[in-house]
Amino acid sequence: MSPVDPKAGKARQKWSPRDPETPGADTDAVPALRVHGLCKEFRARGERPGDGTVAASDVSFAVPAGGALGIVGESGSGKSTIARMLVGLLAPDRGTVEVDGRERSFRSHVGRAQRLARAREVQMVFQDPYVSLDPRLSAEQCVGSVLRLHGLGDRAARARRTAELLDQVGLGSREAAARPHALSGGQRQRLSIARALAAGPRVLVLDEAVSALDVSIQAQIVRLLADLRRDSDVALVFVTHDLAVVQHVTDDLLVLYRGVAVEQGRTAEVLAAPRHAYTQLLVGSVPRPGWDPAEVVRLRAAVLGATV
Amino acid sequence: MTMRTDAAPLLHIADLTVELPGAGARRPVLDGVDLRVHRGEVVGLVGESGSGKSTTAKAVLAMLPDDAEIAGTVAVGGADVLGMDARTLRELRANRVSMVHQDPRSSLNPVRRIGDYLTERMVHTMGRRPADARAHALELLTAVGITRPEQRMRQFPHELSGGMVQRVVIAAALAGDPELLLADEATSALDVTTQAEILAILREHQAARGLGMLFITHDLHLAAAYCDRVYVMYAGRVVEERSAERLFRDPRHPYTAGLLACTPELGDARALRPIPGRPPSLDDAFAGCPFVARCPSAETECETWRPFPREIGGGVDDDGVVACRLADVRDRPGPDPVDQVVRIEKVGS
Repeated sequence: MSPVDPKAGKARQKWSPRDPETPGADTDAVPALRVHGLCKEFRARGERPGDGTVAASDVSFAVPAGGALGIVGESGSGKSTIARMLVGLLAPDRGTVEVDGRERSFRSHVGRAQRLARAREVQMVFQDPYVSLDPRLSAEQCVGSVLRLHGLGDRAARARRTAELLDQVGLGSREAAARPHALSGGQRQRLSIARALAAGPRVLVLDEAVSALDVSIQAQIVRLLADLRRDSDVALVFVTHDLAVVQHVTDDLLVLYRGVAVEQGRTAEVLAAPRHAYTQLLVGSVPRPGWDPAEVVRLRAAVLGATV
Repeated sequence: MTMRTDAAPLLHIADLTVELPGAGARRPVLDGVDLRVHRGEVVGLVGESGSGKSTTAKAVLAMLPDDAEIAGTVAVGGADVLGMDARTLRELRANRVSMVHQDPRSSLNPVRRIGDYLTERMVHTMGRRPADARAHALELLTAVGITRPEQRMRQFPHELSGGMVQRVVIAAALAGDPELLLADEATSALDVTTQAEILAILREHQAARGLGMLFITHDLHLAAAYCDRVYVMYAGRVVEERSAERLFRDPRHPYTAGLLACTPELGDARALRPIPGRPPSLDDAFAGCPFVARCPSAETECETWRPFPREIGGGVDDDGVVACRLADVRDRPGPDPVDQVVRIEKVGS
């Protein structure tokens, strides 16, 4: 058993629906995204409740319109599971997800119109665009198909909107006619973002969306996300393992360890002065000049116990 | 600097050019690469995808494709690797140079036990008796920090975590008692806390055995924090070589400066300054400097003037090499020095 009791040192305020101090929640305004008490446990066949792998344990947060929340954690912390529950690819065991104050349903047996309406609200950008893009569609067909699917405008309006969206993410007319194999990794990720924006979402969930890119390209996408935040009021949920990137994209931060939000607060404050031992370990693990990995090993043993 | 003494380097790559005509490339994969690793030294090799980092490592083990056209030399302990016959090469790969790859799981056979993986090379390549090999494997597993090694020997790769599999791969890499360790993105797929553990283990064994290590990574901050000396590659060429500390504090090549300015750094909230464009592919050929299209301080001459690596002539104790026309112009005494053009500062937020 690990010596860390994730709940013991829960440094920053636990979120509650009426708590005006909630990181990211404006005092009176209804946040674009509000998540309350999200729980998810994966159980192998025959495992009793409580014996399985906990991917989310009473996770709550809110993101205002135009705001950005980072979710950081190591592999297995449950960050992708939470992302998938926000989008509706997974149903939580307990807890609610609200968009603009309306609770999202996770029922699978609903009509097409309801499914589409649900999908429009929250869109997702995945880590590997080469896998998530249809190889047969050109960039403009890809974006156009989303507009058509949601019935957004007639043919001419859709063409205009497609050009707008591709321009917004920095893809020119040459890239518009290209299929994914002819695009570079950065261009593919730009296309993924354009496709997600085409639905006109209130919330954009990015799951390790810049992790696989070369740093020079990663910086371009980070800047694109900053432009997006300046020009629209879409709320961002930025899921990543990279603490250095998250400070450039988000206002608020949630640190996840084994499904538990061990620390929540303003991104800059959490990274500058982490309060929870696990956050301190994560921050200490980032290489910097004069950094000694052996110290991290000692710190890790103290925080998490011997793992091998 | 102590590492750059006159003693013969453990690894000496000299003017290595590799072309792959079969791949339809329009430029060499490696173009005049010079690189040295001394005993007891950790040398970083940094660059973006397609810069030639992994090809350089493969050249050290003579694992380049059969149709590759190779010029230049690769010497390990003074012996020319590229001219070796099959038997000597086998001996080199088994006992003298070991490689640790990014994805440890693909290094292991998923249907063989950890113990088999560790012992079979000792028995078949190194001629040890099975009982000795097993005893040595247990020692190695303990040395890389794996508890209950007897139990691990019976397990399969899928039963171990990523960090633990990477430890097993490192144990195997140390089995032949090598002089040179090639770590190709060895920690890139691991969580940050696990990465630190693997780096600590590598450092411990490297220091204890006086190994030379070529540490390949895309992460400039990691290279600066972990290595003694760093080479920066771009489009198959070495564009800068410096001590890690100086590279980080005072980059001379515009590409290195650009990489530092666009790499997010914890605790530095200044806006990232992206390098425009994208890293060149093998289809992009260059008459002059390969970085010219993305360089903020490029001049017309840079398009045709090919920069060769050249000693930095700045300070008394400064060492290193940079391949940039503007650095050349700046360092050369003349009537019209181009001042401070290659220094790119991060933009203030």
